Amino acid sequence: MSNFEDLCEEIHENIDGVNRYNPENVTQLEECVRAMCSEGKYDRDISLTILKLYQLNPDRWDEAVVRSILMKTLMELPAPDFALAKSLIDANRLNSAELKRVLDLGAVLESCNFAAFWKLMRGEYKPTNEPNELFRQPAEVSKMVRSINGFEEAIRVFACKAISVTYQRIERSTLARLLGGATDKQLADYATHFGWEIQPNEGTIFIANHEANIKSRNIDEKLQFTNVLEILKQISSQNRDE
Amino acid sequence: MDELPTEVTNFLLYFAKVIDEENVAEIHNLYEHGFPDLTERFFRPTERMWPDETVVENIVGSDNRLFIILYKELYYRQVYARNQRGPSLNHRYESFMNYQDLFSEILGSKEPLALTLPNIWLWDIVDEFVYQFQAFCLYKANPGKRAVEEIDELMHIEDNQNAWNVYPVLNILYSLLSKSQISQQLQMIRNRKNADLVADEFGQSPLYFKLGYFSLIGLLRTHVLLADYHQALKTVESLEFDAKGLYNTVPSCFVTLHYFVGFSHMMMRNYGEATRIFVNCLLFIQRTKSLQQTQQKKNFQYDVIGKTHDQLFHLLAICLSLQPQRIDESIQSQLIEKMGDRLSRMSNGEVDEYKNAFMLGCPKFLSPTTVVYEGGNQSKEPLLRQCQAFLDGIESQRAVPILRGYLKLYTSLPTQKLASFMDVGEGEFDSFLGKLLSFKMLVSGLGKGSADDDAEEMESTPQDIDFYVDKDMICIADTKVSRRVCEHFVKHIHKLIEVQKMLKVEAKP
Repeated sequence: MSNFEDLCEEIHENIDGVNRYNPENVTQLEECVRAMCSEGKYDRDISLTILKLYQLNPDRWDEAVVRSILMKTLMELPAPDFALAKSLIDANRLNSAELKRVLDLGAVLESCNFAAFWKLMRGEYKPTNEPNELFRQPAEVSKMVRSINGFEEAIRVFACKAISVTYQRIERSTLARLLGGATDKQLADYATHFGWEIQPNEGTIFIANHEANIKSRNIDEKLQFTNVLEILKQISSQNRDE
Repeated sequence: MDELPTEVTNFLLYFAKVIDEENVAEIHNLYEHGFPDLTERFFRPTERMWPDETVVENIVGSDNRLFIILYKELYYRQVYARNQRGPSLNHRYESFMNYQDLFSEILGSKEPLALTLPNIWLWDIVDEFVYQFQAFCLYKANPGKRAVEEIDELMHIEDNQNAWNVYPVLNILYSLLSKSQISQQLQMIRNRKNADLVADEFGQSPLYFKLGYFSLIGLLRTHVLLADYHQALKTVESLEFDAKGLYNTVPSCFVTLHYFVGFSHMMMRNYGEATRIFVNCLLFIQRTKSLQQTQQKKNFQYDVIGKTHDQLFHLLAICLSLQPQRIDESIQSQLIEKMGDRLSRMSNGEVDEYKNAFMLGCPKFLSPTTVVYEGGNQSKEPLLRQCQAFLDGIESQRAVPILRGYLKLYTSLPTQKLASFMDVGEGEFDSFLGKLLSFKMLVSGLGKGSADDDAEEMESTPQDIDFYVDKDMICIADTKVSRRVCEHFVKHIHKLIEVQKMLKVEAKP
């Protein structure tokens, strides 16, 4: 059994230029998607190419593959891969409850609603009776997530990235909650990885010095000499005329 | 049948002659003026049509194959432009066959074809080819556009996939790219190297180079119509946006390129970049407006630039309400004049308003595989799908304009207090923090892949508002831009001097 890298290299040669649209590549691409999932790898071109082929050859459609791809693209957040993949799926496919579940999960994650995500994963999510309730069977979501290698970890990394750009200092407890109940050891690892500084006495973590960069500014209009040069010339020539 | 006016006969003979002689200046003149002038005088849409190929063959000689193909390309374009309800299936089919003939002459030739056409004609060929493909997909999906007797014929075409199928269309466009080695050549040009090093005799021929170049933009458009935004941007990544680029020589090409690149960025949620491109395009249209109008009307052509101009404002409104930034003042004031109400409703987070703007601003998406023989019109389905995909994205950012509205009022604001303003319920506080995180992600451009967006770039297009969170306090920084008083005065002083000059001239006896 060849591994993902080999498959990937081979397939990139096969999907170059107009060959990207060759339906004969579907089988090989599907194999590649499976390798992507089992080995925890990802490739944007392969993922989008196979969706394109399903769009042009509706008889080849395989929903399980599409679901895997969507889940993999969610792991790439905040990159726009999920949105790109979603656009390539035709409307008549969206009636499937399982596919819809992935898209709904996507909506939660895209809006950085990490709290809801961890609730779903811990089985603490309480569906409402509202007609627009997304998750009437929350247990199905966590099952789906756990079937994908490294999904939760990928979401923690995504949350860390969002926190890095937003926070200067964050309460340790808030951070742990946003990361789905991360342990002290995990927090320390993330801190090292993202260059954060744990401040044990204050119970906070120093993320980044945003204060230095984010300042109120006033932009005044600057009048360049060249802007008035023309006017001065004309006025002086007028004076000479008179 | 009416006798063809002598002027038309002479025109056709002369047209064939200058094409044969590769006299590009004269070809350009006949293409842009001669042909539309005669159309206006003898072939007004409701009266009569240009002569068909047998008549033209009799005039120029049936051995002048290339001229007849080029003439038919113009002929079918007229057919498409004249019929409000769209051309007949037979015309669509014949037009495709003619494109196939044209492209196989070009691509199948053993050596570069001895043909020189002005840039605008080459662009129009590629653009019209993509347009007719789009029109065919919409036609297939809409039984209402079809005469009863066309159904069998359509079934036949679909079974054989021999006209306007997505595969041959893509194949032709990609073949034009590879025949001209355009991407490799542009890469070299970009690196200030000699492009001839990577080009063979075809790539070095201006005909192939230009067709390849315009095909990149035709393909960009095709990818967007098929909702493949990533591939769309990848297609034109070697194409440099600069004043020397070939796209500057054809206004409708300039507008198409900017519209579709900007639209792709918008769909990838890179609103800042989309805004920049839309504004550049609007400024271009503003500069060249007077030139365009007279030309378009004569040719009974679809006013691409005028239509795109309106679409751009709708899209610009979307981008700016999600990610405000300072733009050119003349465009800003036109935007407010055209859709001030809509903008304010968008900043209140009204999803319907985003939807309306999207529907008015987006291109006509297609499904290349949908054929409806009977029943309802499904040609709008792909558009609705893309609209929904876009609104899903908006949903996650809908709180952003509202948050922005509150943050603008403060320089610092505790998170708890903001949560209470926004009626965040008990136990929902962490979800509320999520909204702040997603706002900040948008502002900081995280995940937009625009790594080369350096500090300088940020300087020129300042965010109206930025913030960070320090523990439980939101610290807000805003950018105030003072009014441009000097610019105003300078402009008016110039005007005054002009008036004074005029008065002096008038006053002289």
